[in-house]
Formats: sequence, structure tokens, C-alpha cells
Amino acid sequence: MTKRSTENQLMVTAGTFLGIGLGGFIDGILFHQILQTHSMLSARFPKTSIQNIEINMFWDGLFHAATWLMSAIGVALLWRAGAARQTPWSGTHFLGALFFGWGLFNFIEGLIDHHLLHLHHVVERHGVSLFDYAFLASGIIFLVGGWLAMRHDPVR
Amino acid sequence: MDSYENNAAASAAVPENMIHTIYPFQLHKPATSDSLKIYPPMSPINRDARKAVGFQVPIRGCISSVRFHAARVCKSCHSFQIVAGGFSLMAATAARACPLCASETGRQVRAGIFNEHFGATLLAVLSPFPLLLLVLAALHYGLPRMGKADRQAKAAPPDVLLP
Repeated sequence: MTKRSTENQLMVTAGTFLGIGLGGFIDGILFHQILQTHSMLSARFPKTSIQNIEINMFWDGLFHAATWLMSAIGVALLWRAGAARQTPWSGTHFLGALFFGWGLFNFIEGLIDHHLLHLHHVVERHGVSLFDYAFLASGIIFLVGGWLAMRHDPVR
Repeated sequence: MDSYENNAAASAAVPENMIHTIYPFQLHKPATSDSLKIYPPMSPINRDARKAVGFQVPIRGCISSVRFHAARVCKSCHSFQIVAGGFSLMAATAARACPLCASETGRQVRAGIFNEHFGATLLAVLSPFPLLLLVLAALHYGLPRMGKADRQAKAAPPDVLLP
């Protein structure tokens, strides 16, 4: 692997980390807090009492801490890529990496939390529903879209 | 009689010894029954709420909008006690429900989090992240290519015919 492609790989990895982190924050901010359709353990602790809401809030916090960590790693890697002279900067490539990471997050989180462990569902009152499959599908679409964007704009 | 005088006259009907607790953020709100959060002083739950918020205002001698609240409510003190008791129950629970709070609700929250399932729940909640890291490591460093066929090819002696 040449020096140039190594730096490009670093930028892609940074973008993917950031995509995972930002995807996690979108999930947390949009679904957990603004729409409040579910929380981290809302399938186990239904949000019908103040105790259960507080318990869910605690686990939401740990989940957000993990997504923050992913974002922080992404920023650190991006900083390293920025310090290298040979990094081939490309907005399309980086945006592709971000979407790739977001899709990866949606797919893996959706698969594990919604379908395998049943910790929560996208719209909790429906249980496993079309929304969960739409969430998985969004993951695949973002993954493929991000990958295509990176392929479409090969860094020269 | 304008509305201020109306309110002032009505508030004179409030008993002298009736001191209510009002949340500070309520003071600037318009005087609607929805914004009303006045708590009777005697209930133990209300004492909790007062401790949690740490703000107490005597109704009489306060601003007119507060007088208005008191005047409207105290016309039917019994229903006021029920409504205010309900509000204070909710407020006290909400104010003292954190996992570290020294209250019954706080204890229940702690019990719901730090129990024998804590490790398993932690593992479940964080389980997507190790998998994401694995995928990222595979993308960054490449998948391990040392398959069985590769190992056999490496271990086998070179296929060279000696003269």
C-alpha cells in the first residue's frame, strides 16, 4: 500500500468513525429525545412510570457516551489524516465515508438491538414493526450509497 | 373594578396562615389553571418538593398574578387540596427520582439499574460497538488472508525437482 493510499484509508476510517458517532447521535436525539418513540431499554422497562423513565435515561446516557467515544476517535483520526501532507482531500469521498459509517451503525444497531436482543423498537408501542425494517433498510441504503460515493470519486 | 383590583380583592379571602410553595418558573406565566402549581404546606410530599426546589413564596403580599392564582383556587379549598396534592405528588417524584437521590423513587431507580442483571444489560446495550469496531478494523487493516489453503501452501516444501 502506498503512502498516499494509506493516508486516504486513514481519512475513510475517520469518516466512518464519525459517521457511526453522528448516526448514533441522530438516533439518540431524534428518536430518544425529540420524538420519544423509544429509549434504550424501553421494551424491558416501558416508559409508564417515572422510575422506568429514569432507568431508560441512565442506559440512554451510556449509549450516548459510547457514540461520543466513536465521534472522538473519528476526530482524532481526522486530525492525524490532516497532519499528513499526502492526504488526498475530497468532500465527496469524505461524505461517502460518513454515510457509510451511518449506514453501518443503523444496520448493526438495528439488527442487534431491535431484532436479536429486543432491547427496544423504533416505535415502541408497535413492537417489531415496519419501522424497524425501514431502519434496517436505511442502514443498507446509506452503506451502499456511501460506498458508491467513494467509488464514484476515486481519490487521485 | 379592573382585573388587578378584582384579583386583589379576591386574594384578601385567602387565610393568613395559608402559605403555599410556588416554583420560581411559574411566576412569570399567565394565570391559567394549567400553569398553576401551588402546594399545600402540610403534606410530607410537599416538604420533599420544597427541599428539592428550595424556593418558597408566601402568597399574600406577593405579585398580583400569584394573588390571582390563590384567589381562584381558594374559592373551593377542598378541590384545591386534591388538585394541588396531585401536582405536588408528581412534582416531588419528578424532582427526586435520580439514581443518586435519597428518596424512595431514587432507591427504586437504583434498584432497577444496579441489580444482578447490570453486567448483562451493560453488555447488551454496548454490544453493537465492539462489532462496529471489528468491522472498522477489518476495513482499515484488511481482512486476515491467512486461510487454510494459504497455510498449507506456506508449510509445504517448494515443488522443485532436484536433478
